[in-house]
This record gives sequence, structure tokens and C-alpha cells, in this order.
Amino acid sequence: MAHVVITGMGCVSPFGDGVDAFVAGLQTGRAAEPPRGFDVADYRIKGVYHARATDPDSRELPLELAESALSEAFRQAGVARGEERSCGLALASTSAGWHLPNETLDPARPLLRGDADVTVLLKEGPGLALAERWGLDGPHCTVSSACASSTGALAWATERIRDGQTPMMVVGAVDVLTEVVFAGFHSMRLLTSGETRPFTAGRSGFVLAEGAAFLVLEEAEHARSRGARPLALMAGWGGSSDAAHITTPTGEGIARSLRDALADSGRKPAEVRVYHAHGTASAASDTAEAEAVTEVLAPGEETLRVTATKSAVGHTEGAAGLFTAVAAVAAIGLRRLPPVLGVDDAQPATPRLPLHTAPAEDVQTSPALVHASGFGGANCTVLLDAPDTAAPVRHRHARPVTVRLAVRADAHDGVRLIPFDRSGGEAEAGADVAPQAASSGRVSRLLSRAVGAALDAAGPRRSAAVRESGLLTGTAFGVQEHHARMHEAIRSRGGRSVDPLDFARSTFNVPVAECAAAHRVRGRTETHVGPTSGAEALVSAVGLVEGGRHPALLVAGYDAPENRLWHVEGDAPVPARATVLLVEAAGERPGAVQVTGHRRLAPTSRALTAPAVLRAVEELDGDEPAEEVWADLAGLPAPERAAVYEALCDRRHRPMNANAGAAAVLDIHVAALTQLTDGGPRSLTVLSTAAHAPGVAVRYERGGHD
Amino acid sequence: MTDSVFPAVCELVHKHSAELAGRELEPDERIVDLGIDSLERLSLVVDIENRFGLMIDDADLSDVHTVGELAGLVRLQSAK
Repeated sequence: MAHVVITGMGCVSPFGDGVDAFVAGLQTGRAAEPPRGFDVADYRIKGVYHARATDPDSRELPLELAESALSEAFRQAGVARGEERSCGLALASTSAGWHLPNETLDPARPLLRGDADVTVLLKEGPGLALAERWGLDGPHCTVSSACASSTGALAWATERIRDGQTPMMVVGAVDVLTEVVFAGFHSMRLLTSGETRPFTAGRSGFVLAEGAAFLVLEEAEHARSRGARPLALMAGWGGSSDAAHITTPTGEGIARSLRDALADSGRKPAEVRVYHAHGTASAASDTAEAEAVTEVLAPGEETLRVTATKSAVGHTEGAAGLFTAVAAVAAIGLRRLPPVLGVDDAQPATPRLPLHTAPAEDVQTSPALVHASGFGGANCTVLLDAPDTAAPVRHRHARPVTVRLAVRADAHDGVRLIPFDRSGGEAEAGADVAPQAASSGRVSRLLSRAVGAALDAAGPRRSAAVRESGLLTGTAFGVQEHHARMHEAIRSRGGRSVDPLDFARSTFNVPVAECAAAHRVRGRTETHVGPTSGAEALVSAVGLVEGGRHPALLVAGYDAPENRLWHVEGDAPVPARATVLLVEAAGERPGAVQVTGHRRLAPTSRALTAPAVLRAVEELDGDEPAEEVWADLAGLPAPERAAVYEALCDRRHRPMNANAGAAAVLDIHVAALTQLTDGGPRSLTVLSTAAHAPGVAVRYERGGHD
Repeated sequence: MTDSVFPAVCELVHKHSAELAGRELEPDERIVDLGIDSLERLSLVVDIENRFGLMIDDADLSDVHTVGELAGLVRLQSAK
């Protein structure tokens, strides 16, 4: 399996432009300032840390911050614009688009016309624009799992290099200060009027901050061949879901994420020298994290140092994990750790951690764990090591993968189970499942009902394995009905009227988190964003099962119209629906349908073209063309669409037209799988594209002699 | 307890816990025992602030455990 190294980094932080300013700032911290875009007279808390932007009032602020961070990272990696076409991009963001609240959070706003520039309104917008500008035609995604988003993006990007899809990935995170987020954290009493003091008696919450950071990840041999200097080894990653409460983290859940990262990196707990904490300086979060670190890393306590960058830079929301990763990589290069600022002698009743407080102290800076937790109980941890470390040699045996079943939960038709394994097998009674909280939103309830039915149908043994492996989801519109309510509360009654329940349920990963809690899914959860994100969740799961990381995974797409707060005239309707698929390693069953390949198409003008689409189909064909091609070409310009249909005219193909929403895209895959299982074509390629989104092509085949 | 604060506080507490429907609250009942978890409690505080036009500091909330103490805090802050 490919080794992944980091060859470039860049950021724009509350300390200014560039990694040097960020690293220097971590030694000192800074003073808070009033937020630029809104009045704080009504709030108890008055200060934030803005990033130093050249044009803070720009409509494209998230993109401009991200562009600056990416430029620096590529400069360090020695990559010129357009030079690495196979390089992909993974973006983490929770807030892009919400910096224009009157345009994105007001459901009463007028319809947009077809010629409107909508990328500026999308969470995926900065990633889409950067891929276009920089010629990044490799694998592309946007993830949004609250404050664990950016370690999740690092994990996804690492897998794309490991599975050989690309030798290079850039991973970015950008979040900007918006009033809905400020008011939300304010209502939850997580903000401090002082400074961020994690793990100390004086802690009183965090200072909300903003910024953008990028890392360049590269296959080690690729870096060597072009003479790039590795800054650190991206040794592995781990993830977990607390499967408990959406805003009270658990030490047990964090501990599982840390162990998973250690196992993936082939490291023992006692070998870890640095723990870069999430450290938000809230009592519940600090306590859970301290318990987890004490439990998992106790064997190394003599040599372990814990540090927490938020003590200097505040909380950059979804970008926090990537900022911490930048700090960890810089520390490895400089052989100097950033300190935890403001530590007093009397640590509170959390387990005592070996906090690093003396900047001049000579300590080892790797192996280093970087952890991030987010609302919903999402945990994702990465392990970084010195660049010259010998990574354990592991072999990746691609094994066949199948889709066992699907479930569709629909607001009108109820829950429908669609089995693709007709061989009988394990079909047992349903498991005992906790009821979903009645106050959950509709998409949460739909997702939970679909996942519950899928776990029931899977039987106890298989469902137990799936619960430990996880649930990957896609959504186009998240749970933005809550944002609309927060925005309305701010406008009509003032920011202090925002209901913390709305804020807690507003992060895009909350439906998967509530579902994980209801069904005790303790494995990793991830939320991909965008119209084709359901298909991305599917191929992500296929990759993880194929590579042997998990025996099986759940995949879901969900959406509902109440969460689409704006759209363009003529956009397709959004069904209120969750569609769930169970992906697993294929056994030796004759007649089973296998996923025999997949291709990702970047959302750029170069990669979403007729020749690129046809090449993807042909590559999947190999020696034996698929008997049918189902193509949703909504993501291609009209002339390109016509060219694809013309090229496909001599083979059986079906033009598809998915409704809006991440479930609708998966529904086409479910229909294709149904055809194959029912003895229709023996092989079928499904192509999913949409405007402003990466494309995904998947080939299915009914194997054996049935 | 003849003032209007306690009934008003009770009304808001009821709004945050379905299991209390139709039941009268006593001042010494602990909020945590009423089916109100940490997140719901924060939502209750926002409602209290809005109803009584207050701005309650985090430090003042740390000593509030019962419905009566919550009403007491409201009276104290309203008198300021």
C-alpha cells in the first residue's frame, strides 16, 4: 500500500498570512476583536479572532482565504498552477455560503435565475472554484462533519492515494465567522469572554475564530521522483461515532477513534510522543477528551506531551483539525512544540494530562496524534510522524465487494426493503433499537428508519459488524431548516433569541449522528456534501471494504425540501427521502451482484466533458463492455451531453434524470441493482453527474452461473 | 411563592419536557430530574432570558439546580 507524505502546507489564520505567522502566533496568542459583520451589543460575548483577509467584505471571502492557503502550500511543495492534473482536492467546511445569510438562509428569497453564480452560495463552492483554477482534476469531495470535518477530509484524501487513484491530493479547510454560528455557540454557552484555556481550572469556553488551511498529501515515491522534500509522514487515521448525545462528547467514543488511528498506523500507544488535543475548553469536551487520552495513551505518560492549539488561535470550527495538523507538521520540522497557553497549577477534576507549557523545552515532536471531535459525536484522528520514519509495509488486496440490500424511507410511501441477495442467507428478527427522539427533524427520522430497517434485515451477526464499521452519508441540503430558524430569530428578535436546540441540530452531520445514537452505530460516520454526494459515499464505502478496512459499511443519501433554502429556477424537486445501502465483502455466492469498478470525475470544465465521461465508461468496460449504461448527464453542458449520447448510440443506454437531493442519486443505483438481480442485463454502468458536483461512475456485474 | 415568576418559570419548564404534561412542579424539584438534559436546559435558559428580558451570566447559572433556584435567579436579575 502506498505511503503518504506531506510535502506542502499553507494557511491564513488569525495571526495573519502564512504558516510562519501561524506558528509564531501559537507561542503568544492574541487579543480578541469585535466581529466585523454583525453587532454584538445584544450578546454577552464581544470578541472573536478574524483571519487577516485582504478584503474582509468580499462576497468570496471563503474562497479568497482558501486560495491564499493553497497557493502557499503548493509553493512549498514546488507545484505550479496546472502542473499536477491528477491531483485531487478534499475540502472541509461548515460555514461557506452562510457568510451571505440573506442569500442562503432565507427561504422566502426569490428564485435564482439560471445564469446566477451559485458557487459562492455553496458549502462546496471554495473547493469547486479552486479545482477549476488550479487544474485539479483528481478525486474531489466536500465533507462537513461539524468540527471534525477537516481530519475527516485528511482521512478521505489519504485513502485516495492509498487506493492508487491519484499520487497527490490537497486537503483544505475553510471556515468564516458568521452570525448564525456565533449566536449558536453563544446560546450553548460555549464561548468565553476571556481566552481559550483548555484543560485548566480557569477554562470558560473558546474564542470563535476563522481561517483557511491546506496540506499537500503525496505518495512517497511520487514526491521522491520529483525531488519534493517530505515534511511529515501521514501514517494513518481513525474515526468513530460516540453514538450517544449530539452535544455531550464521550471519552469512550474519542478513545475508539484514537485506537483506530493507532491501529491504522501500526503504532502502539506507548510510542506516541505528542497528543495535539481538540481542547475546546468546555467542561464536557475537555473531560471526555482527558479521559480518552488517559485511558488510551497511559502507557506512554512518561514521554507523552499534550498540547492544544486553540489556547492561542481559538476555535476555527470545521478548519480546526487542519490548523492543528499544520501545527503538528511544523512542530515536526522545527523540533519544537507549541505550548498550551495560560495553564495554571490547579487543573480541574479532569484526569491530569502532561500539558506542554514550556516552549523552550526539548521534547520529541513525533509520532503525533491530531484529534478533532464535532457535534453529533463525530471523532476523527490522524497520526503524523517524522518524514524519514519507516512506515509499516502493508499489502492491499483488493477483494470483491457487493451491495447486499437497500432500504428506502420515504415521507409518503413508508419504508421499503429491497434485498439484492436472493440466496436466502441470514434473515433474522429485528434487533432491539432505541426510539428516535420525537423532536428530531424529518431527515433524521427518515434516515433512522431506513438504517433501522437495514440493520434488521442484515441479521444480528452482520448488523453487529456494520455497527462497528460505520455509516457514510451524503446530503445536498443538510438540515438547514434549523439555519433558517436561527437566521429568522436573529433578524426578528436578536441573536440572543437563537434556540441552542436549533444550533445543535444544524450541523450537516446531525442526522447521521442521531441515527448512530438510535441504532448504536459506533464506527466512523462521515457526511459528504453536494448533489452527487450519495454516490461518493457509496464509492468511499466500496473502497474501504475492498481494501479490507471494514467487512461491511452502511451508505446513505438523505434530503428533504424544507432544507433547500434557495434554488435556481427549473431545479428538480427534492423528495423527502433517505436511501440506505449495505455494502459488504462479497462471498462466494453464485449470481451475486458485484461492484466491479468505479471512477471519479472531478467537477471541472476539463474533467466533466464528453471524452472524459466516455473514457471512464470504457475503462470500466475493460475487455467486456457493460451491457447497459445508465447516464445522468445533468452535470455536463448541453453540447457535451449530446456528444455522450451520440457516442453511446450503438449500445444499450438509458438517459437518467435524478431528482434533486443525495437520496435521488442513490435511488438510480438501487434501480440498477434491482435490474441486475432480477436477471436483466448481466453488467451495467451507472453514471451520476450533477451541476456543481463531481461525477461518479460505478460498474456492477452479476457474476457466476445463475 | 405567590409571585408571578414561579408559575411563568414552570410554564417554560413544561415546554421543555413532554413527560411533565399536566403535572404541577414543586420549587425543590431538580431540573435534571424532570427529563431536561444539558442541551434542553440551555434552550430553557434562552426562553427565560427572552421572557423576562434578562442577560444571565454563565457563572450565575452554575448554582442553579432546582426550579425554585431558577425562579430565584430570575427575581434577583429582574431586580437589578
